[in-house]
Amino acid sequence: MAPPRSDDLLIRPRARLVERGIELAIRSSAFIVIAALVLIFVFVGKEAVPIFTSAEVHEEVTIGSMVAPRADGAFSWQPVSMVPKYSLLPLLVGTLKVTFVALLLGLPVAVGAAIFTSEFAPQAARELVKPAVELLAGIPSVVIGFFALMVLATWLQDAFGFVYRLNAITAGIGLALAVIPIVYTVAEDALSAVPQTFRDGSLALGANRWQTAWRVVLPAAMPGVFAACVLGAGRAIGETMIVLMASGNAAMLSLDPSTSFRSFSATIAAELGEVVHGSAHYHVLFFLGAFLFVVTFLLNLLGHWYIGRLRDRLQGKSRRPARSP
Amino acid sequence: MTRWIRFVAAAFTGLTGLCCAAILAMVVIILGDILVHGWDRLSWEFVSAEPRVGMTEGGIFPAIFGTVVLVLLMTLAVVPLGVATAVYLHEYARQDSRLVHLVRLALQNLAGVPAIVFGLFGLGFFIQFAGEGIDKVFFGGKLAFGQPCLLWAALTLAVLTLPTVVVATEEALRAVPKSYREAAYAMGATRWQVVRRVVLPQSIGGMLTGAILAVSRGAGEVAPILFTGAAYYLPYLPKKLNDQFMELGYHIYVLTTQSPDVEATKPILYATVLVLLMVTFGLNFAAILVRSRIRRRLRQT
Amino acid sequence: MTPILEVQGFTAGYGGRDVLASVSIELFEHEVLGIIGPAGSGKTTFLRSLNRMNDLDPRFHAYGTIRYRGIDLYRDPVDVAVLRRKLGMVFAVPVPLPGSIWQNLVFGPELNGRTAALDERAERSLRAAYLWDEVKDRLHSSAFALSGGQQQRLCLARTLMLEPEVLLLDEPCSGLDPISTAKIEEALAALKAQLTVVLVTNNVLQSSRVADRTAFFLTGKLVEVGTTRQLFVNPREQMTAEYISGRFG
Repeated sequence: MAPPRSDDLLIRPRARLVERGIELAIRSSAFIVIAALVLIFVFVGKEAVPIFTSAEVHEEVTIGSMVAPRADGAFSWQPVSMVPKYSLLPLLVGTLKVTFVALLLGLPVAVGAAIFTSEFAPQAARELVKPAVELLAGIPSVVIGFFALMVLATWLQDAFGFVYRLNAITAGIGLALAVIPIVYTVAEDALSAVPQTFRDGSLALGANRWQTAWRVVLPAAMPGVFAACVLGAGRAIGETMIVLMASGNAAMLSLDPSTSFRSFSATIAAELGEVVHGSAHYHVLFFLGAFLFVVTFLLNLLGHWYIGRLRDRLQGKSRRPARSP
Repeated sequence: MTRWIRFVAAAFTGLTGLCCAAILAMVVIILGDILVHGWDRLSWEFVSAEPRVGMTEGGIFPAIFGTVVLVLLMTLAVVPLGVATAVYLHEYARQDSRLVHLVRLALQNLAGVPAIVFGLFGLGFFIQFAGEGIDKVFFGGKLAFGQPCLLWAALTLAVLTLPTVVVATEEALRAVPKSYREAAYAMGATRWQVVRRVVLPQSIGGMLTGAILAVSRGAGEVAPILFTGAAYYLPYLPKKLNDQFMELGYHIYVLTTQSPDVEATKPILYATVLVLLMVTFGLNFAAILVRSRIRRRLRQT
Repeated sequence: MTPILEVQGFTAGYGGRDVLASVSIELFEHEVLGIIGPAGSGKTTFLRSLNRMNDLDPRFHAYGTIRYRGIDLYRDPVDVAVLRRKLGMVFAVPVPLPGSIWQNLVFGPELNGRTAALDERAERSLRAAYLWDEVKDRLHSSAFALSGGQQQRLCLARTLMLEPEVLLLDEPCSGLDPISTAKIEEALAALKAQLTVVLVTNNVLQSSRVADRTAFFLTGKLVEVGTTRQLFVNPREQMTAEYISGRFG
């Protein structure tokens, strides 16, 4: 006689309903992350679209008027005035000015420090610098802006005699402080990821540590270091509070870094509070926000793509292998 | 030839070492300056009293209260969502699926969105879409949630800190050995039972780290709350979800840039900055402690 | 005697590779079936296919039939959690779960809400695993404090708490000292009366000590199966003889 069939092995339809429900809840929470990013794009973009489509808005401002000079050849951002002017050029120059200063100061310092701690430094230095960078990263940007405005601006003016106390150099130094942690972290990760065998091989061939670092390790980690710079640039462009507090908030068009300026993000922060909901000014500010979103989104994609390239290269998957001595 | 190379090597080493020293110096200078100027004004009265005489006297209790409530609400929103997302990514999803790749991409990019754009999002989506929608449906058009308030500011910050929680939780999930899960499956556990009874209890430390880091970040960000609920002076403490609130970071911003008498408010300003730093660093330090405790315990087993 | 487990033409593997090639074998109630063969012969994959533990690997694929008491394990709508309770598994490396000995033992029953008479069942399982005397006074101490051999016996006891019908053991004594090995072998011999045992082992002599029937796997194929005595004394296949005599392995 055959042993009885084990029907209790079969799934009963009602059982595991709770299990299915929980799995559904967990899966949908993952969707929320994607939804959040999409919603940000949609709802910021939604308020920016009238710039392109609304006739009412076009009476006051168009894409063309934001980019081209006025009749008398001037570019000016004066949304709150008898004749509102919306030229983006002063804001663009301001943003680029401060970003340039911040990256000029911040990138070498951060990358240099990363090279030092991963190639030259004894363990003690590493244990000092890494926590310091984490501390720096933990300082809220409003505090850095506060410091730049209250302390840094005075020092710099005393030292260099600036006409404008708050300018792109002051704000740029503050911004560099915000950029350094992310650049240092990503660059240091990239340098540490280079296998020790690369260094050993180079040293065994008679190179000293500088030559090893400069000719072997850095080139091998270059995608990661580049990614660090790209991500740092993204951070600099998007940072608001430091620039809001230390830039002087004057939308002047000038290439001189020692003058006050306005950046895109600071403009949004400074003017959105007083703007009339639905007015042309309101839509322009959202347009600036959408623009910032797209730029930093692309920079982020680029940065992370390069990190992926680094990983592939070090794992021997890419067509252009890291040159080992 | 070799002397030249040695010189360059020394210079290079020195330069990069100088970069490290510069970073250390900056941290010391900033923190030192704030500590020196803010310490005097710090007292029990300062953190428990209300501001008086145009922010030149009294304390900043309402700002501390507002920050705490804001961050608490944010945590309630972000931790369950972040943990669930991390659990999905690590325990439920097939690692080669397109959806997983998309979610990870979205997380990376969410982490890079400028804070002010989050503020715009809070305004455009939470306040104007969700808030006004709620007002129309539940309050007959009366203004209740279609305005800047605690709820929307907290949710905006929750979206901002979501990547932090997910990354920290996933790190903790990854640390749980695969063999534990296998043993549980072999005893007839379903996937949720494995997660709930084996994986999550072992990951509490990492989840806590993520929550603490998120709180620390949320307490410091000002740009997202500029238009979603923060106020400079309120004669009352926020009691309802749709109240506005005072907040430490926002207070610092306004006091710094718009105070009519900078010299008079300077002591309070410095002390407020010191309080914010103490809160932020205290939380970061707690997270580091938790993380090292977990690492030590893992090394024992 | 009718078999409780029938495997017919079972082929399985990971990704593009097949690890098992058309295996057909039967398992009878209350016997100890030993499975021997060199590393890479598919023994573990076969064992894990019986309780569908291979499902955990997304690259796993399987063709053919495995029928347990009339149910096709891969085609019928089987509740895998119930299956793994009926066919309990002990792994090669002891994997105590974090917690006390007691918590390890009650983990299985608590999954299904079968929490009646836990104390008696715990004692019975620990006795059956030859572990009771050593831990009866410290049931609430950490499972990690036990020695390797004790941990493995705990894993055995833990599986017995599920009251399985079949016990699947994957090289349970690898890495254990001879005394622990002997204790586990004694336990298996005694358990035969209540359930059926499938024992994968890379120690040929262990199979000769403990198993009623023995199956020899080689590169994914079942070369030969028969009573242990017959397989060791008078194997039908040349390869079987060579493996058993240690010519390769």
